[in-house]
Amino acid sequence: MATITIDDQQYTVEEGRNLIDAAADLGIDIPHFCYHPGLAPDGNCRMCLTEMEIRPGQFGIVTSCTIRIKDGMNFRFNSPAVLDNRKGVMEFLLINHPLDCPWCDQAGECKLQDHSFDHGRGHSRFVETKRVPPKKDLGPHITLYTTRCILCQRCTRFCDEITGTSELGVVQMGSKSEIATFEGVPLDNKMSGNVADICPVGALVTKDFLYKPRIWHYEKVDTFCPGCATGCNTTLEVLHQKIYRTKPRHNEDVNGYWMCDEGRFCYHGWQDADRLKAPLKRVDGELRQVTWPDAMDAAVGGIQAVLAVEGEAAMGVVGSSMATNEENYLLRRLGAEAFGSPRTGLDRKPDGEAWTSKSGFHIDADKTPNTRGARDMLGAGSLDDILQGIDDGSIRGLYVLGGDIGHTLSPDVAEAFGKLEFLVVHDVHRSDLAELADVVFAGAIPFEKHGTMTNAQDRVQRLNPAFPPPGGAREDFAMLRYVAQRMGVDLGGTDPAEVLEEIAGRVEGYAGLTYDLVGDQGVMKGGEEPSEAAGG
Amino acid sequence: MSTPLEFTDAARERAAEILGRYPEEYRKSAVVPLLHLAQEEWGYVSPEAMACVASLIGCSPVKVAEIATFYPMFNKEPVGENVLAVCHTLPCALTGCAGVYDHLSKKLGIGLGETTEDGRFTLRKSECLAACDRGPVLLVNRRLHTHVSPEKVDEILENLDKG
Ligand code: SF4
Ligand code: SF4
Ligand code: FES
Ligand code: FES
Repeated sequence: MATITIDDQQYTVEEGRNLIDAAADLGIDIPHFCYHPGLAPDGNCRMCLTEMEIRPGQFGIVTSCTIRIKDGMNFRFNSPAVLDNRKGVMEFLLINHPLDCPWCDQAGECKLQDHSFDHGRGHSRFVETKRVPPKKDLGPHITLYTTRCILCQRCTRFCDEITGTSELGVVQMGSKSEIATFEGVPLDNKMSGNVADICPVGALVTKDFLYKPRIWHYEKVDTFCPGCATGCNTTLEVLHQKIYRTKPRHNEDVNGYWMCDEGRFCYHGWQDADRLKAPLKRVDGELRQVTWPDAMDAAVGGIQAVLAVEGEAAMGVVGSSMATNEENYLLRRLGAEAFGSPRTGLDRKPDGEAWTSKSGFHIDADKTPNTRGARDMLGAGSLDDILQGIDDGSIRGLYVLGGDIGHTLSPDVAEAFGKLEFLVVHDVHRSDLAELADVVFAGAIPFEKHGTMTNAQDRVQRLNPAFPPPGGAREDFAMLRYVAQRMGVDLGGTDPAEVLEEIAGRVEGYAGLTYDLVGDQGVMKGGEEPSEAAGG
Repeated sequence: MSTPLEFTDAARERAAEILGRYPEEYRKSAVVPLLHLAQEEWGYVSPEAMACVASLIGCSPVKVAEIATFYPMFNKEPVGENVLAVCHTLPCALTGCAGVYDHLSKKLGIGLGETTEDGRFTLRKSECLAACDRGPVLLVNRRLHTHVSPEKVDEILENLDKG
């Protein structure tokens, strides 16, 4: 720790910390553009100028972003020299800046707007004509509104330091300087969307979010990405039951400040899927839409028929790595207590591509968010036992959680499921799995769920819904409880928080976990700290 | 990406010599001398030439473009045999660079950045050439002429003609 003085007041802060961050910890905001906590300081924008005592009694102007705290440092944040310099920097930055805030995507979350308001002046002394360089298409996801750029170089440094792909540079000189790509080498890497987040102005925008409703209309939902087993923390921007944008939410132990493009834009696939909005029941060999009571009767009747003829344990359950810990846990209890069957399985989706960036940001090969958790809850990591049971005739019926729009059954699994006498499925669209079922419950996608999941690092994280499931679809959690109830079993907890408490008492590694403890940053299973920060 | 150009054997030897001046982990420092070499080789630094330099120093081509476009002395387009650059920064402006420029433009029949039809001259303006006390200043290829006037310019061009 170090004791420093700011405007004649003493504070204790962490030694070696960057002055902007140290001040932020104290609740003092030093205006800045080029500094970003996820990137190395560059000291180029000059917005963060403050005064520091460089010799006894003598103060000099320094860039806060490049100052590392040492004991005894003495700063002035609000001296006339500091305020004047700031004003000057603002004036220069605005010389060529257009006044297109009304249709700029960044309006409302623009550092330039905020700092102009706080530190600029209300009028411009610049009477010459502003430069108007045309906008540029930088790559598949990103457009550069060249006029709005203040050349802070966060974007170029991101591509140099984080992805290591270095597609961006500053070409030309002086007032003609511009961000550019090299011809034939577009900004096209697995994390390109992040440059739009870190651009402090509206210069870099994602094509996906261009000209969408103004940002202040959205409701923000903190959750995490269901795109892979990394589980990057995110904030969804939601309006009228629709997601418009996903942004990474800082979590040093998971994703740092970043997320990958596939995860960023994956909400489209889910949101645009042709969803089941009511349960289905097989009538005369065909799946027909029915009411909930009708579907429930059919499911319970079918299960009871299997159990009556074939005896207990003839029904198995298959969980899902798209379902929450609580859902998989309730499913296992449903099997054990209502079906009298200990037989569980998990149908794993084949792995995709794994990738690690220069800085260590990791995209997992497992393209589902909760394989770890599903395994922990079900006590099974594969379908082997279930397939074996179907093969030797000991399993005659199955209760299966589906819910992955990107997953199809492998031929041998489809064949085995086809042999069952009775199959109940939870799914979100008419998947090949649903097509084999006798009853299909219309369930929820990860963007509609409450609960926790466990990522590849064994970190338990909380999922929060952006909106409720559409039409007559329901959260799987509720349906599981209802089926159990109809079969005379009370599954206890009425919400995921209560079920998690039960899990904490019964599942190894989850001891002591509560919804509050998991919070919005997650917590490691077994209460351990992550072995290595994956933040990148 | 534009296919990188290939240096001739002689230029490649020189490139190796240039790279040899820097420690391996600072190869990138060779970017400016290598760009000069590329310009000597091909007359101007095209994107293909930048890509060639980038592959030699092992960096992304846009990082070479940053340097090549920053310095006006690197020609980004084909130029005439002789490049004439009239300094137009304030001290030279005060000593009458506009007259020198106009004279050249009229005499050669070309405007800013243009090249004469016979390919002999390209006319440019430049920022301060660091001889402000001796303006107006004219850069002819790599040679600096100070205290120039329309008459002196004629002389300089004639001498160029004589070879
Ligand atoms: S585009 Fe944005 S991030 Fe990149 S230099 Fe310009 S202002 Fe900074
Ligand atoms: S790395 Fe995985 S969790 Fe993170 S954004 Fe990409 S797909 Fe989503
Ligand atoms: S934030 Fe310090 S110079 Fe830009
Ligand atoms: S202004 Fe012309 S040489 Fe400096």
